[in-house]
Amino acid sequence: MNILTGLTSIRALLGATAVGLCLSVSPTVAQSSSTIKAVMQADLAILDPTFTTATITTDFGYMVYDTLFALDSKGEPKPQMVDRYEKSADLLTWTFTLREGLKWHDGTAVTAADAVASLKRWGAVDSLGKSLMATTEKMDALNDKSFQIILKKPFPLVLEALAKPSAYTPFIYQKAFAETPPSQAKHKVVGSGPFIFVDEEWRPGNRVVFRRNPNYVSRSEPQDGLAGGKVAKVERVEWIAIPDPNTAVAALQNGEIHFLDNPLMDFVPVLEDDPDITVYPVDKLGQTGMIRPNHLQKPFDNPKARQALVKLVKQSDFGAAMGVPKGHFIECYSYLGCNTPLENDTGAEAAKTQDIAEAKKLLAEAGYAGEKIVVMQPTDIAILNSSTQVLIQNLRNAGVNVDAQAMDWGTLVNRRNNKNTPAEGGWHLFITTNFTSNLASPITHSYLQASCDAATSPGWPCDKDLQALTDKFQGALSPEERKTTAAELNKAAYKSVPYASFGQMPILAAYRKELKGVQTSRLPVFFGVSLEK
Amino acid sequence: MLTYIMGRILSSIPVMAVIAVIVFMLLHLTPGDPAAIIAGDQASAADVERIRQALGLNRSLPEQFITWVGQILTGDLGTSIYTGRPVTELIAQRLEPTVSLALLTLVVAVLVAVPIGVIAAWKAGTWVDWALMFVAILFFSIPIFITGYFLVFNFSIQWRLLPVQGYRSFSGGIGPFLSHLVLPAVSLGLVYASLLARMSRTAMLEVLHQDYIRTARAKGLGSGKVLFIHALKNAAVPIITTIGTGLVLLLGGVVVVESVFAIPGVGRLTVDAVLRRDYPIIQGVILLFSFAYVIVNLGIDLSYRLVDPRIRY
Repeated sequence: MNILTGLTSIRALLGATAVGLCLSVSPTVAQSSSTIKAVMQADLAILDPTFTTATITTDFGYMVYDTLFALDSKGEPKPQMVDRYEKSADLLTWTFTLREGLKWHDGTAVTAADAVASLKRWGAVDSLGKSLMATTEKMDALNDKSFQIILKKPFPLVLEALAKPSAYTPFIYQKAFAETPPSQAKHKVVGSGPFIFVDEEWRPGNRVVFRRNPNYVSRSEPQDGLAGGKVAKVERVEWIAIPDPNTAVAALQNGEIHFLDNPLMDFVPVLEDDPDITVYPVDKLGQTGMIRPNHLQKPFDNPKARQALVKLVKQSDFGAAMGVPKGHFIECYSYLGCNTPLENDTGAEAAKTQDIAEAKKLLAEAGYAGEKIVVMQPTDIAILNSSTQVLIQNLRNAGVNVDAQAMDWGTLVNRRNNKNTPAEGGWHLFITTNFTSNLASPITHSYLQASCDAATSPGWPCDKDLQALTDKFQGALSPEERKTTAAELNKAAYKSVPYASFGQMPILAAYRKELKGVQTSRLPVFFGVSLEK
Repeated sequence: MLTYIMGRILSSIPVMAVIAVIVFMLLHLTPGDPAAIIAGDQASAADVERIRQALGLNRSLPEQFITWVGQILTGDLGTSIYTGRPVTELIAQRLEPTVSLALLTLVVAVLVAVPIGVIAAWKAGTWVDWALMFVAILFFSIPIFITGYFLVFNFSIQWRLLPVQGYRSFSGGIGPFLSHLVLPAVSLGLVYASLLARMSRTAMLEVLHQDYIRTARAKGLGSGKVLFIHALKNAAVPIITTIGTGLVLLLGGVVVVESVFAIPGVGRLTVDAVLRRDYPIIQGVILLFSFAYVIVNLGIDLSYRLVDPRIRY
């Protein structure tokens, strides 16, 4: 008996044993054909989408709640819960009427009062919502089906705000829920969306279960992105928590799950080679990488040191380090994102070429003389860890005395709020990513805010010229005016450098061939998706 | 005996109290803010502060500690900062997979390791001894996750014999239960069995050099009787101690195995809670583990009497 024959015999023996153990249970899809099993980008822990900006909670919101408007595949806001709307000629009075037949999961009717209370809760926390509320004179329900927003002055993004797809999304809650302050998380879920959350089957850290909402009245139009008809075509959706990315990919290959959101970039080529699996962009705009300097600390309080960061970056190096497959990575020199309506690279010419010597010179001009530069390195998030390593090497190439401090993301998000000097627990640099859809407008782009007050994101940029352009954008009503302002803003941003971008990459997901109807829709949604044998 | 058991259980109370204080202080002095993690990356400093206040995290440490101790004394381990669910409920949901995995691993490891240790001691200094100990050291040295990925690649991806991940309750049938636990138990068991085999060999070697073993052989007893009836029983005390302390090692290994095989057990609950700084869960789990450790040690001490009647309490 040669070795191969021996191995075959052992394998046969093991196989027989394993089959015996499994009895009638096959490891491949053994579930009902009406249950989609999906592994999402994170485990769901918080059920209140107005309490956290966590993406998984927004995903959850789209399963169980509904929105007044929703973005179609072109990024245009389209009515969703709203049947019709009217705006006055002076753009100050907006009247919305809800569709007939909208019901909460407990069977009661959705009312205009629910919508008004929900918008008020959202408007207390969301940046775009706050801007809308600041220009709102009053907002009231006219009757059970209609409500009105009366503005003090025209607001250019009313519909865009109501269709905002990323956190905080203006989901519509029951009035009693919506009247809870946004500082208090609600744990009871009564939505009006196409799926019903099955609370008694929720096992945090293990699985989240949804069942089809039989009473959901879908729009008659075909689904188009997040807009149009939301038809639940399967009886159940289960979100399974598989924390290990290798195991999640193996489970998809083995048919134990049908959908894998945001697989580790390293695995994308493997998944693309599998004939049973399709890799697709959930969100074509994806996310943008950012190197955020602390504008309060030397040398990054000087724009020249921040400009040096831009000169240190070769975006393709970061893409390669993160393992983004070729063809998916976009070198982007627009502070308002690429492939977005306001994309422009005005003032970015110098940023397109890496120049270590120039970076070194700029740092010297900013007064840098070899002091320790604290870089926070989150080792538990693969793409942030690898891109931070590229940054650290580039800084060292420019003669910077780097103090790389490894930590988990939980520690980083706490420490980045520390405004003290690095010696007192503060920091100089960290890397993060942000949804490009959030960056597409100066109003929702929190990392571009440079208002010199405590409300800005950690890094605390302070540049009155840059902030004046953001404020100017809020008053720009015509598309041409917005584009012109966006170009001025990009130029000013490359001068001020609130952060240095290191490229844009889509958010990918993979699904098995049994799933039909999966669409690129900014978020992984399961309405319109069926499961075939 | 009963007095001894009660005394041991009562003596665990101050131990648990000290552990509670240390755990609380360590957690709250460790960098990381659950409010910042909950708020998410898009949130402003005002959002973080709003959440911190809502969760009561802005209260002083002594105030938070007194509240927590007060809850514990009434049997309440608190609620998860994130899910709002009671910690006892969350732990209860996770106990079955962890206990099942640990017990299956223990059974497999003991059944494999003790005979190997006995044989290695019996054949001490021969190629059999060397080969067995080489394999034991090899498996002890390979990280659990490497073994896990290797088994998944072969048994699940290549041969499609066993599931990659997940857990099925025993109540759902022995077949699905075992098929989901085989690979995790083997991954974990190999490390544990290696340790146990080496300890069994050492304990047996000591006993095999005793005079009464020589006497037993001189009287013409067979090797099997000498090894398993006379020698093993007297070598059992250190072996039982290793099994007991190994249980703690198992709990550490369970954390890795549960992550690799997506088993929703206490280990993963702990890891998730640590990454999120979900203090009530971490505190609850550590208290539970500490209590379990006290009980396991008590069980080990009591079991000595079963194998050595000379021991009295």
